[in-house]
Amino acid sequence: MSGASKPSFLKTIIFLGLSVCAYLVIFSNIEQLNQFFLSKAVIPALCLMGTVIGIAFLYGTAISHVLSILGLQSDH
Amino acid sequence: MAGETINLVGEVMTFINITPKEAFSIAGLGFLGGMLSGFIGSGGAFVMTPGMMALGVPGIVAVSSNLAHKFGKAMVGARKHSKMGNVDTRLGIFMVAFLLIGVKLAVYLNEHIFETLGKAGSNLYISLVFVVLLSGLALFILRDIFNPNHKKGADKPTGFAEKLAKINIPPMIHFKVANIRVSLWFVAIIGLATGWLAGTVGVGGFIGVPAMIYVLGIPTMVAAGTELFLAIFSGAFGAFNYALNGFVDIRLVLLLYLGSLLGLHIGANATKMVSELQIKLVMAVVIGMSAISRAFAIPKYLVDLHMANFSEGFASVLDLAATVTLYGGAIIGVLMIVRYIIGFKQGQKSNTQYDQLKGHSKRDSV
Repeated sequence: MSGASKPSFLKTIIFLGLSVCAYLVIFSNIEQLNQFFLSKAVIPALCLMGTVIGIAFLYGTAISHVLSILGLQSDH
Repeated sequence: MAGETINLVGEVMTFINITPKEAFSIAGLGFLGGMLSGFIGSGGAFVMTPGMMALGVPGIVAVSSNLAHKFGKAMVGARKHSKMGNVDTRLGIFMVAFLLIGVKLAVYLNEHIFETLGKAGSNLYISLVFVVLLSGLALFILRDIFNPNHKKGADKPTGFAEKLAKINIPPMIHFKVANIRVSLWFVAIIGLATGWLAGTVGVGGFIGVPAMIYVLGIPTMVAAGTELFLAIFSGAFGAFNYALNGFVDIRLVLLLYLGSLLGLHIGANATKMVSELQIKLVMAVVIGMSAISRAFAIPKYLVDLHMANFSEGFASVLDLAATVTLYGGAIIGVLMIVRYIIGFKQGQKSNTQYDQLKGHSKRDSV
């Protein structure tokens, strides 16, 4: 358990909400998004990478904050 | 969520049709892989890639989606790890150049095999690489566990690394953080091999880290930190190249994240409650079972390619055995971790009770 200060509850809720929204938006438009991402061009490939980074950041931060609040955050 | 269709030379490839059951399986696979990766300090692709293949995802799509997943995770993780100062940037930059050549070569080979031999050929190639890599690694870890002469935390260069440092093939380069002077050619070979493996099966660190430690004589922490730095580039470059050819399935990446990021934290926390030997035991079991699982899957691919004459029934039984072995290995690994955690907590509890009893008896005697 890290010695770092715990993140605020509000921040945790914001990140959780944003990641849930991002997942819902992506999965409800998955047909169109997949058509775009699989069009074998540079811009769709870059957009796909951007989406992956965005989701990893939002969901990763949300999980990290939740576990921190529960006292389960690691320094790894 | 319907499967997407991509037109390829000679074959029409259909992505897996993801039902709620499959979505749950992939998220669960992410959790198993994440927990194991947090526990043993690797990417977890050795469970997630074969796991997705067992669910019917074509090998090349499983590898490329896993690379995209690894890249995003490495980007987030790098923020944390950069503060630890374990990265030899100079070594990383020299290695990246060769690493990217290795990744490009692997992507080209994978795509070429997929286009010429189809899904079964691509799956066979990926499975063969997995069997050789994972069985070798499992044997190496087992030898490490049962070797009585093994010294804990030996950070000094091994005999082989010392001999290598004496070989003077110009250009010789000094790496400050790693504190070694070595020929660029050895760095190039390790970079190429790591990149090729990362691009082929999505697992590069398994070769990169031990090679840096045992071949170049780099301290363990610097090797692990530099590998993380390299993982960003190999993941990004590999995923981008596969994405350019339409092989990255965003649904798989997002479903893997759901479980893996949570499992990663739990696995990483568990490392504080176990010994080095217990970590190695879990590694040997999971990696060994994963290797056996891929070996079981090979006959099915050979039958699909008309390269062997096994009966369809026999090949299907072996295919089922492959799935059971893979998931069985991952579940056994997770259960071992849970058992170690429970053992640690019980030990802590009995220690507290013993201390309290000791305190009471002291007060009584006073």
